[in-house]
Amino acid sequence: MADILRPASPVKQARVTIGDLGLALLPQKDLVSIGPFRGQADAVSATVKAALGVSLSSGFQEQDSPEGYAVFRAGHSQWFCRGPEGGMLEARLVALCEGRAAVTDQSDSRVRFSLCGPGAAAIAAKLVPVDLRASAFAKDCVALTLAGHIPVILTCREVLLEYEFLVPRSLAQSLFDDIHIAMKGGIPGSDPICSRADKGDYFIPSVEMDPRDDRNARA
Amino acid sequence: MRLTCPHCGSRGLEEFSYRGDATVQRPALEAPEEDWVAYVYLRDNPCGAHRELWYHGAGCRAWLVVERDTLTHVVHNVRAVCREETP
Ligand SMILES: [Zn+2]
Repeated sequence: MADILRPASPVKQARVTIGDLGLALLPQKDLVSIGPFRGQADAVSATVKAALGVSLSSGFQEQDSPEGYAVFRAGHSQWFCRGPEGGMLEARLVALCEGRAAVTDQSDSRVRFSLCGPGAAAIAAKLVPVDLRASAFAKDCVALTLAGHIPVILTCREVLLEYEFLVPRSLAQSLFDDIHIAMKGGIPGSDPICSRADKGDYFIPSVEMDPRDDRNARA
Repeated sequence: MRLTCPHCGSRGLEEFSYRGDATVQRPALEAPEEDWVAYVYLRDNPCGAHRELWYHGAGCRAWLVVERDTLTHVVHNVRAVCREETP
């Protein structure tokens, strides 16, 4: 069998830490977008629920199944389904939703970061215009929004302590840098001290990966 | 200013773009030239209640009709342009 091309890491560093606050690239998983055709959302939801244990909820809250699948709504008539890497999720969903939804593999189009630790909400709040308090953005809440100028899908993993950013791969390094600047006390895009003086610090020309990253383990 | 998107909930203004007056009506094809000039170029500048088109470009990417008061800045209503919305 031919060798599979191994993708380059979307970011130069897979993890940075400032005090107890960490920003880390999360392992790749299968990610598929589902866009039900007009009037088909309920039927698609029921089908996906029967097969994967998760439905297409109309709320902006991620649903998880014990089998390792997650579904979340990320906009008007658009849902994402995430599953174990290499699980042929797209092929399964194409078969399940045939003629009733547009199904597209997004696994390589997006990158996930986790911002985790005390003060994570304060750092995230420098970038996203979302009210991150528990009353407005509880665990598993999802918002399609902007982090600065970068479109992201933000998920709360733990109120005030852990947030996940799903970002287009081509913008991953920019978002990583912006969050890193914010973690270091700066304000991305408007803080000349951080964006210049610290340049050597966060533009490290290294491709070192965190050993906890799946893909590094295989590399 | 915050707008409550019918799809995404309450969001900050930076996620939206103003896309024009929602009250203008496209004239009939055979309408006189003056009607077309008015449709393309002329806009009222109301002081008070107004209807505007907004685009939620950084969110659900839906076009919205916002009813708001240009004098008090109170937003009365935000709804999707498309009536037949799927959830
Ligand atoms: Zn919206």
